[in-house]
Amino acid sequence: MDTALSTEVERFEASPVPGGLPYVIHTDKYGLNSEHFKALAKGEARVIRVAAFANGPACDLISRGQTSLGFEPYINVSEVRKIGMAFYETELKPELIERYFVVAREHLNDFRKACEPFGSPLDTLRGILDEIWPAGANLQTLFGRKMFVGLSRMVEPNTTFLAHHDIFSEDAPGIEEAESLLAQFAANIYFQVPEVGGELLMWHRNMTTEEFDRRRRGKYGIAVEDMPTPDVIVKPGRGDLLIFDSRKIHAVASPHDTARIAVSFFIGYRGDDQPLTYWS
Amino acid sequence: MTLARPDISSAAPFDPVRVAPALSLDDVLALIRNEIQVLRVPEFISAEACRTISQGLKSTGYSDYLNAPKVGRIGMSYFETGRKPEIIEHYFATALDNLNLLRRACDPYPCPMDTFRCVMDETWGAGCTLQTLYGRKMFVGLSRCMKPGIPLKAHHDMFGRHAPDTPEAASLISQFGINIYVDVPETGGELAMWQKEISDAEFLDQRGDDYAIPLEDLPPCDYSAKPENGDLILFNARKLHAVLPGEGIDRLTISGFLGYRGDREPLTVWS
Repeated sequence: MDTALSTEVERFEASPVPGGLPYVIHTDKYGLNSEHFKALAKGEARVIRVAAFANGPACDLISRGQTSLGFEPYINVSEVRKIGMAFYETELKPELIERYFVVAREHLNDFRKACEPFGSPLDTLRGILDEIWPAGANLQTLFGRKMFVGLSRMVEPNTTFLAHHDIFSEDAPGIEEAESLLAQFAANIYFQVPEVGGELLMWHRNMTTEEFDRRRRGKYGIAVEDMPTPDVIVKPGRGDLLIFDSRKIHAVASPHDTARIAVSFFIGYRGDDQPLTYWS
Repeated sequence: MTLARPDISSAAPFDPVRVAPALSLDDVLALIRNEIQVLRVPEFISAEACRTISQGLKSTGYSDYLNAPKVGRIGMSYFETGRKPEIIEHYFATALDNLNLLRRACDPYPCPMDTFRCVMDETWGAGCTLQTLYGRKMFVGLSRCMKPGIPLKAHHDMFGRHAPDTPEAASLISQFGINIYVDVPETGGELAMWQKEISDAEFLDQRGDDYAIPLEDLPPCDYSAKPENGDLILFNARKLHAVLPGEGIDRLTISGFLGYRGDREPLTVWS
């Protein structure tokens, strides 16, 4: 499947959505602008690809730094390893929510340490978001507390990140900060990518929570084999930043040769005149 | 103001300069509450980062302030606009490009001002965001180069003077200077401060035609902080402050302002 996927990437990236824009908006670190986010929010694009957001030496250093900090499995997804804690892991259990907030600051600084002596490209991205978005961009607060941002994740060879969607209000139902979102984007900066595999796969069709829960059969997501051919396939390069509509079903194809290592987080959109917020 | 103020001239236990291992909410609150006037965080950026960023800044090249000759800078300070519409337009038109110019100069390190903005956003309950004015984003991260032997004369920073009759300036309760020290001389280059605050009218009168008050026209400073490479210093910018002449090498900093409008309001940054 992966060889076929690789040859399909270019064709998929060039194909337009019904609105006429390509699925993938290509830009660079200093070309990222608010229109790109509006296009994602309106469903006119699926993915913003920022080539070489982090440079090669920084990527090597950060992936080594992350590895030496040590990746651990998700509490509720043993196949995916990470540093830091995702709010998704709390499953709204009070003791896990408490732990999430208690370690948030520590994990924020862990990622900065992993980037030493350089520094965190995530901080650069946060600065850029605050500048390009008219109402600014801030770290998400929840229950009056600062959330964590900057989850390091590793997808090891021959494991697949199952097809799933990320919808904050499913992790935090009935909570204003989650229910007020009009769109949710996932952002990943890739520090190590496999030669073969590791593509982001996306599907256009929205899936209700009920259908998703039925089809995932008790797992955290749906096996890629049980999904139709993906509608969008993007192979990230080392240092690339991908920002995509996380409410669409998406998956990561199995890396073949080396693990895929990234830092990942969400960006919340609540309208063109509201601040963007981010969290992990 | 009838509240009793600490009398620093009588060697009271009050120390206006605090040194902290990391930026914390308590120390920022101490600045806001006027309990301290200077907060110094050593090693905010690493020695390696300082070396690389110093090279990057020098090769990007400094040019003099429009209205403060002999002070080199990269980026533009809103102070330079002097309320002239065409310069204000230029300031906003170049703000985002200047932010990225700074980032390129710091590459492969992140611009330390980005790190500061993030840490502040994490520290302050209502977050920290880039200041907007007239609906447009301001610039932050002005890099300044002070030549050896040249002081930055005594002044205070009042956003309201440069952006009069704006809600953004009128709503400010406190204005702090942010300095990140990239390359500083071994001797000299201290941040000098005077405890007594003067009105802006008094300041304008005292400076005359100059951009600020010559040090020789003032009594010795009440306190000072000697920065080292990699330090972050926050200070009360509404007090008179100056940079004493350095010896031997250029003094390079990355700077901005931090605005406070109440405990439930976001902090904002600009240059």
